[in-house]
Amino acid sequence: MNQTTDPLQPSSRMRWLAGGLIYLYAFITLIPLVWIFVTATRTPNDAIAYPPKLVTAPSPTGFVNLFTTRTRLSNEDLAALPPPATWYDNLVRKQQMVIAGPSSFIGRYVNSLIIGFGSTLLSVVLGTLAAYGFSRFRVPGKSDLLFFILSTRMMPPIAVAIPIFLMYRAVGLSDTHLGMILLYTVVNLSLAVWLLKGFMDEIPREYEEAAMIDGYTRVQAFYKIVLPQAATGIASTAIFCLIFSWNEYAFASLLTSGNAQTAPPFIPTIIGEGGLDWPAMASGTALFLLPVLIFTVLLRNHLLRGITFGAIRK
Amino acid sequence: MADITVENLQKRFANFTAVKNSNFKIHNGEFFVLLGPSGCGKTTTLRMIAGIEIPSSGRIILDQDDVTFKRARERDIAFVFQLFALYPHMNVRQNMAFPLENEKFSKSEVKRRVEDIAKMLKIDHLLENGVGNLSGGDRQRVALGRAIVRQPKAFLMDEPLGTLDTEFRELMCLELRRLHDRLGATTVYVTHDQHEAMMMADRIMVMNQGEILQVDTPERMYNFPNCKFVGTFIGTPPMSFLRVDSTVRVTDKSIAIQGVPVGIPRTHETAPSVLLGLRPEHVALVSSGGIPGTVKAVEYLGSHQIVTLETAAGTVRARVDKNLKVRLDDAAQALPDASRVLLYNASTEKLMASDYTRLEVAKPEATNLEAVRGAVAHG
Repeated sequence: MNQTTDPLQPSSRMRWLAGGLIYLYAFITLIPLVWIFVTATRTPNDAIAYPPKLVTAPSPTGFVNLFTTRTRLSNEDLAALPPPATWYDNLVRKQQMVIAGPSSFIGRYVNSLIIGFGSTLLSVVLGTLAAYGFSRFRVPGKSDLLFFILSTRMMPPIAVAIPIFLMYRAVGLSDTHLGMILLYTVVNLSLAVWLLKGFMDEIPREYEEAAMIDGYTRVQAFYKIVLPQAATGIASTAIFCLIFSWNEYAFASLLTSGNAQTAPPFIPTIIGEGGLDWPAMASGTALFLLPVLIFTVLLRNHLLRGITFGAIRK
Repeated sequence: MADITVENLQKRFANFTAVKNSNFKIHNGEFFVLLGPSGCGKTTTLRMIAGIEIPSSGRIILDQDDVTFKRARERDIAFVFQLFALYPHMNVRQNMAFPLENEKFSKSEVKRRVEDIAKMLKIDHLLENGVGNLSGGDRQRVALGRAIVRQPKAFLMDEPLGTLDTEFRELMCLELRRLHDRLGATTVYVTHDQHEAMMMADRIMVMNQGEILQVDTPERMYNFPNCKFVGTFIGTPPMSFLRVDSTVRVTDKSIAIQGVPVGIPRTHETAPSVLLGLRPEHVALVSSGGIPGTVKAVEYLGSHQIVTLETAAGTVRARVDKNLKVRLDDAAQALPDASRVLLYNASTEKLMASDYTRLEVAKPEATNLEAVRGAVAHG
């Protein structure tokens, strides 16, 4: 055996081991997600069957139940009805129910989109400006201010739920989109400022100085030179902010009820007739996961650091 | 094309003064080098001229225009940074066009200018490349191109060759100097490397600890360093200094070191103790009649050797023939060339005037000549 091995590269056995561990980890973390998507495509009876079924025929029942409210009727009443007009009418009839109207899921989902993306946008804009200021200018009491900003994260946000609840009620922000956007922005902002300051600090000042000597104002230099290079940082910060405000449950269930209620507090309230409607809840959850997934996939190229960095150093 | 005049310029940071009361004038079309060790204030001075640092006090006049508190973009100068600061999200063409995009040039005019300059710098084949994987020299050329393309009044360069390896640096020095001669624009160049300064400069300004020590041509800077620091900083190996603790009077023709009389040019000043400043090429190794010492180092450099002698008055280096056999720890004697000895006041470390320095001072520089003519006309 005269096989030469590169001492700087891991041996093939280590590679297999590392690969195996990664797949194992992925398998463990993906099981709940897979279960959600599988449950979403089952009938309510299949979902609660015992012993559990591993493979079932796919059914859109969960989604139909998610988007509708239904009334259970006796067999005689059902028989008296005209035949079902659509495939989903038919599906509901099979559960001995008729459709009473649309559910409020779409409205809640839109609320989630408005509040989630609204607060993410606001956090990133404010965070970028603040981080740039902290990174580039002599701010009196800079370290104290930065510590103060960080300190807002030192207790769980829900610890201030009661004061915020009372405050919001007093100023009329309860159950409004604006109220929730502001609240999530406040929570996210400290993270955004700190993360982005790190990225800003890594962008050499020479770039802006060069632009300012070459006839640009500081604002133009910021816009044309700093922002494109901070894209990586802005993208990852945006993902973190979105994940928080999209998933937030506690404040949403406390401060919203109708008008501005987001999807997280709504989904658990989908209770079917005669027990929990697991497929409906699972399809709600599956749809709920999509935007963060899409957002992350779209921005994932920006998450690969090193693309925009490294041109100034050798 | 512009003169740059700096008057009483100061820069203080919280608890330290980076630049102390600087006064100097850079002539139109001159290649002016700010030279000094790191932290001497040269870069701060340059950044104040550029307008990316605001002075604590003083004035900067660019082309008869007081720009002290003007913004960088209103000064019409170009700056080449040490690390080039090429925008990583733009390719070479976009980098070079960037300074023009804010001005009222047509697209075709921008394109023409960028391509002309690129051709001149021999980087026209790289225009569509990203800047991330250019070689050091090409990066340097792109940075220069970006500076030239706007045809500014002056070029300011902050150690632009600092990251290149030695061999290539010398090549770029020549290239830069040629470029300067071709463009004829005022260039202010910061470096800590005396080689670069000597190779390129019309005039050099040596700074240390925020103070200007000497402003002179490379030649005069080497021959007549006006203080011990400049003598040590300029020249490889540096000037040697021998301390003599006896009074030197105006009439003295020689000075006794360890009881050995050493000839000196007639001095015009008196000092209680002096330093003898000696360039290695003005010191000979002799077997008798010199300052006795021991050989502590021999550097064979091909064309010649540098021998370091340890004497009771201090260390002295001599430049000797490459064939001379010298061994470590040999006893040897150093004999300075009497007509070339420079005397420094030992307490102030400043150059003392002598027949030798006077002789050379009398060779008028262009500016001195004007001053002399002016004085004659008025007298």
